[in-house]
Amino acid sequence: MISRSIMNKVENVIIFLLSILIMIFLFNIIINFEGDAFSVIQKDYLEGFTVVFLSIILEVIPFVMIGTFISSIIQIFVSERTIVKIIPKNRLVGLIAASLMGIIFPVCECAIVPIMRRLIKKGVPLYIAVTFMLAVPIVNPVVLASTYYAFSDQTYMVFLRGFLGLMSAILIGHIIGIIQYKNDPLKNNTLHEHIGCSDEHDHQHHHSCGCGHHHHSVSVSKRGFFSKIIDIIEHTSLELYDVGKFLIIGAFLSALMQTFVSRSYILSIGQGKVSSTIVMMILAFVLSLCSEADAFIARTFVGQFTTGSIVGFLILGPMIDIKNTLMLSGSFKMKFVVKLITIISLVCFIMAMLVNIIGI
Amino acid sequence: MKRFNINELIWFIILISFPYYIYKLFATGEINIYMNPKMFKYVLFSFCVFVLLSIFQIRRIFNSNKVKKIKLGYIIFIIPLFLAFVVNPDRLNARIVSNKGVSIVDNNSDNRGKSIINNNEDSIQIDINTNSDRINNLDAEKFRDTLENVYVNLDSMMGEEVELSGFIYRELDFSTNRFVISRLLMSCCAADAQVTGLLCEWDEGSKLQDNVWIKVTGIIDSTTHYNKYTEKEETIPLIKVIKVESIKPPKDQYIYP
Repeated sequence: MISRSIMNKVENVIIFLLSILIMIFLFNIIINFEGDAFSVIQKDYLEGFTVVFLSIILEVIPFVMIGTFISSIIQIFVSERTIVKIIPKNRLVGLIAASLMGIIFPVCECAIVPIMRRLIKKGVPLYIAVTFMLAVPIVNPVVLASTYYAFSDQTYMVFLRGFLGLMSAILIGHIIGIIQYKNDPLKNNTLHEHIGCSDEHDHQHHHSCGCGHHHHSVSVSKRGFFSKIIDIIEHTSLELYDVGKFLIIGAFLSALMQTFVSRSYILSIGQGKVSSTIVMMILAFVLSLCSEADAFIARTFVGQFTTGSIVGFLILGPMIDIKNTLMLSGSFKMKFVVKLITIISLVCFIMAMLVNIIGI
Repeated sequence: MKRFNINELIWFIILISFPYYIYKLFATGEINIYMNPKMFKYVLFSFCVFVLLSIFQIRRIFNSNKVKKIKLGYIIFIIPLFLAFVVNPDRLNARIVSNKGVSIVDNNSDNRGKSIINNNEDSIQIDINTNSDRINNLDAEKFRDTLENVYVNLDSMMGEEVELSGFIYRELDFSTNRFVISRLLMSCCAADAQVTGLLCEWDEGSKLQDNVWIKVTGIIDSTTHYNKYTEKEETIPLIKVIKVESIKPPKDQYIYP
């Protein structure tokens, strides 16, 4: 298949770049053995990078596991027919319902990508899936509580974050629904789970677990509970591989940025109403913080930046960042990911500017 | 000999290495470098899931009948494991963290209006903390509470004596006898850690080296600081140091919000 060979090439390029980076690190380690003052600094950077890199992975992996686990449960227990039945026919009702899902479905942004991907594969309309993905990490009791805790003296930040996040998610979902009306945003090679044994890798995978996954929706009711559990676990393992590799690259890039690009340098770029908003949004994207922690970081900017730019930071961060972009690009077409990021940034920027103009 | 699937075997090794690494982190206590203790339960959860997945993976190692090309994606999973075992960092360096920003300026100007209310709440909090048996954390908690108190109630705390322990941090534009007595503030994991502290002034301050752990005793005072972001002069707390003692770095370097 053509798409598969392209995918392989992309993967090879990524691996090539990563191996160059590893070479640089190995080089650093060798230099460190000489032990002069210069190399002490090198060692500090290497250690700092490693700590940040590993801490992101350690922090995010449990949530990715929850995400892949829920995704596997949906894959095995929920049929396409049920989903069609649940989804409201009215577009607006559907969007609002999707955006409020976070209240009963409190997962953070690290877990949401595998779930959203699974929902789309199961036939959920794209606009609902996108709104769901963007709103859940913001409109979420845990996240709102941590925002409240961080901004205990400015409770209106919680409302601004929740309300504007909700509005943006609905708006972005709606726009995406219009733009991506006919095109399928998923990469072709990820469709195999529906089509069946279309390529060698999956052929082997399906048979190695005794039964193709495409059979499940048909035969699930006839099979024992224990074998369903095994299916879920093996599915989780496969998805962890799929999502995990992009998560690790994302964590790698984010740690690289945090270690080598000084934050005060980013901050010194812009102080005006417009430029500060842009800077804060770039920061939210680059830092890839968990949506439960970002409020504490945002708080440290109060007084240095306009309220609007902090709101921009708080609503953009959970929606999209480096690690989410990479996880998305693992299963969606690059064109779609770029489009999505552009729309998210534009909408969040407008929301942030609104706050700036109203002047809270 | 039974043929086994090399891909599944590599995946099994990766799956089992992660929980081994997590186990090692907890056994040596190094986990404290990476995480806020309130996140430990999530790390332990991932430990359990990894073990579970590895157990089920064993079954699949011997399940193949074809020799496959090795999946290159596994290299990506080996990177963090490689770094974890080869570099094996034992602390988070302040030089790196300072790259991510330092807060010595009072960021919540709104706070000042509420100083009296906050003062009462804080003093109650401190009482509870002293009574609890968390003596190990006392030092870190004292640092955090003092910091909050001083920022919030600067006017009423002028002239009071404080004692703080932390490491020395300097910015390039500091005059030579000034430094920040600082700690790393971590809300979730090391990725969001940042340097926070109080500005100190000591006549012999230039003799102190960066990143060295000290205990300072001093009088609270205030000074103006030019905030280059808002382009305004701001009043910030300053400690006029009376006494400096050098101390060993504590086991738990961080403070938690």
